[in-house]
Amino acid sequence: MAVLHIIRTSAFNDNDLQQCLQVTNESDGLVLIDDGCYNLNHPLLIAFMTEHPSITVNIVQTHANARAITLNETDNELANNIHIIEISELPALLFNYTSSLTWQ
Amino acid sequence: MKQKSIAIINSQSPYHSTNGKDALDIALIYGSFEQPVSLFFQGEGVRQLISNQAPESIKVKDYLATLSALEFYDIDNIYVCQTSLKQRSLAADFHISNATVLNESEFSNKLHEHSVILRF
Repeated sequence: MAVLHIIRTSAFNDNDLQQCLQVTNESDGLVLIDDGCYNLNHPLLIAFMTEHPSITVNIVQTHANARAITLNETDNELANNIHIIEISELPALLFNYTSSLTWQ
Repeated sequence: MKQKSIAIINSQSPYHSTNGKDALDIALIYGSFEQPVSLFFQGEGVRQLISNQAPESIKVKDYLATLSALEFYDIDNIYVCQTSLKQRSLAADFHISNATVLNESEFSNKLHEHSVILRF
């Protein structure tokens, strides 16, 4: 079953991202929302994206903007693979997966 | 219609918040309605299973003892993340007898077998 992982916290603050990535497989997707946007620059996510280029990573535009996170000013060389979405697109995105799992 | 299977992930240490007890209550409710439910313990959640804890010494109710009642509700699928145990230097010394320790990929695969995942 494909899972959409909704990540709301920063890996610089807690262990949730690490636990999430341990249970993410090739059919799953990730969405960075709220403080989860800070993970863009976290080595764990960067390493994960390098190892699993086919797994879609989404980020909510307004949540990133609120935190002055811009995709073209990041250490994450794979920032171009990140799919920017509006929060209003999240419900539709959910229907692409069997279930969702929120990490908060 | 295919029956939905529920996975409940316990991610918090036993006395950090009411999450551990809430998760257990929900598992028992699903069980009492004969819905297939599996329990997963990951991160700090693995600490809920460690034996010889004494919550009464801090005047806290021992809800962990209820974990032993799961088999009466036909909840036998209890999985523990091996990586989480190792990171915390914990032995698989649990106060319940029917927990299975899984390595990282086994744990992930097992979780993906369920159609609904709740995380506490």
